Amino acid sequence: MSGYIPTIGLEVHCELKTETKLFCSCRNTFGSEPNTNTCPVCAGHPGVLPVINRKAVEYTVKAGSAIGCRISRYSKWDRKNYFYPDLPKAWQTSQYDLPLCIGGEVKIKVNGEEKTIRLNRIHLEEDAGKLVHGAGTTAVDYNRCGVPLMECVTEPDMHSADEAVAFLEELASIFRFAGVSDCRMQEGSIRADVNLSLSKPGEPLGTRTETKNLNSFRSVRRAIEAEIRRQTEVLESGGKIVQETRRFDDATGEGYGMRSKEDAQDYRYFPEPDLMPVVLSDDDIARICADLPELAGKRRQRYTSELGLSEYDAEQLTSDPALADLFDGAVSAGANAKKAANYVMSEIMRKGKTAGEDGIVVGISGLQLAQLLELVDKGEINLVTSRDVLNKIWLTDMSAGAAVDALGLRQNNDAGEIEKLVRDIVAANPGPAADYRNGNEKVLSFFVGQLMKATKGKTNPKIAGDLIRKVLSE
Amino acid sequence: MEITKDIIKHTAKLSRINFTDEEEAALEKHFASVLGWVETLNEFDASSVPATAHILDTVNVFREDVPGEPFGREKLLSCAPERDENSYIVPKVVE
Repeated sequence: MSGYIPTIGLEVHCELKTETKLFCSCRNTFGSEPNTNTCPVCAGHPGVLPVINRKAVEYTVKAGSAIGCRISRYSKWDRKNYFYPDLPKAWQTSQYDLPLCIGGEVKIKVNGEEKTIRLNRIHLEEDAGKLVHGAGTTAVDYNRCGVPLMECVTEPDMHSADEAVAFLEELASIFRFAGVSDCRMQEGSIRADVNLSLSKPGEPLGTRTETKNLNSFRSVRRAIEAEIRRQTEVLESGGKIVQETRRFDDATGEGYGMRSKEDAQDYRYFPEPDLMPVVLSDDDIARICADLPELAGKRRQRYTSELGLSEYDAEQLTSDPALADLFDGAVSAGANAKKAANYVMSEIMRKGKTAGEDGIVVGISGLQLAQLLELVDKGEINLVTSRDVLNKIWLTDMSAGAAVDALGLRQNNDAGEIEKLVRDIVAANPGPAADYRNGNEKVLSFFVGQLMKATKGKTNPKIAGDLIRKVLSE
Repeated sequence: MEITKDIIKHTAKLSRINFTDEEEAALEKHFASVLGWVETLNEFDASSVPATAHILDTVNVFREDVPGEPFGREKLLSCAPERDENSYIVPKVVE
């Protein structure tokens, strides 16, 4: 159309799901009352000393390993100086020249085509507080200030909104499976900055702009599309792109310039004297990464090639590590892969998803699911009644079988078979049968007992009673 | 390093300090002499000293990921120049 090719690089910020903040022992939780998870360290009081959270370093190393980064053997922190009330110290403790992870790559698939997006680095820094703008003043909440944040910087390897969103989705999936971040957009635990420039084929890259702080995949897509349109219009009308930092307004769908980059961006990085460097040996790294689970990409491959599932199914099952773990657990407990997949994608997803929330709650184990599916398979319960069983065992360790008994749902569907058993029992017990026919209702329970004994209790008592009455009344 | 008015202005801006013209002129001299004094460090032969990112030898000082006792919001907020019930209040920042 216009002949311009967009070139896109991303800076992705992911909050780590540690219990505490990066440099102090305040809780790292979302949704607390303002400023309740704060202390003199994260509130930037003078004279305090930060101490690094071991787990935050380990999680970043895990995340880096999961995408093939080189893990630095020597890493340190630096002060990035700027004045803005979201950081009370007037600097952000970040990593400048010696980040924890270097390089790495993420494979994405867009329109059936596979592509590799290279990473430049991942560094570990502290998150900033939250500003709530009111009329005339701004209120500051430092609960988020000091929360461990990984900044993942890509190379400019993406050329469309589709590729950028596919990259973000894959990166979020990898970090979720690695167990280091929830990557919940709703809670701001993953956010992205978009660097974008346009160029004609074969020509050097144009001037880039940076759109900051996009907090949903949808905003990333819309911001990229809007910025491509804007830059195209500027260039087509003979104008020049100004290097600047921009914001994207979700309500209007428009971006706008913030401040000119030239004089504002002088961060005067210098080494953080209050924190000691981190030195990692090969053994340290091996130990940290020892429990790194199988990631989504590998599982998808296994699901399609070994278990014969469709690509769509494989994708659905790996949309959340808890779902994939449930599915794998059920299959290794003996469930049929296709049936387990269908059940997870329908009943479990329906039950575990809460509208408007990113995550999914999985309230049963793989073994419980396998048992449940076996009962359905044997016809002892059907798919409709299986929902009652699911409700009963959800968030408990009760077996599906015990739930079926507790709910009285276990059914022998073969009325012909039951009736035949009843006839045998009646024929073998002419005395009690005669008693019943003479009006003694009480012997009915004797026949029910005989039937239960013969079927090991697997007959629905109501069906049994009805059939016994029918046969005895003939 | 030659200290120009522009360097003074830029440094003052980064430090959020306002100077009058006279103060700026005076600072030009001071700045140059302070930097000149620091320059004497270059006279030391550091070729035998390994490069380091930190003045101490210690590395790997960590804490475990265990929450501590809450410090108490009120104690912190009481230090703020301006506050409301649960937050710090700062002049409206517009980007």
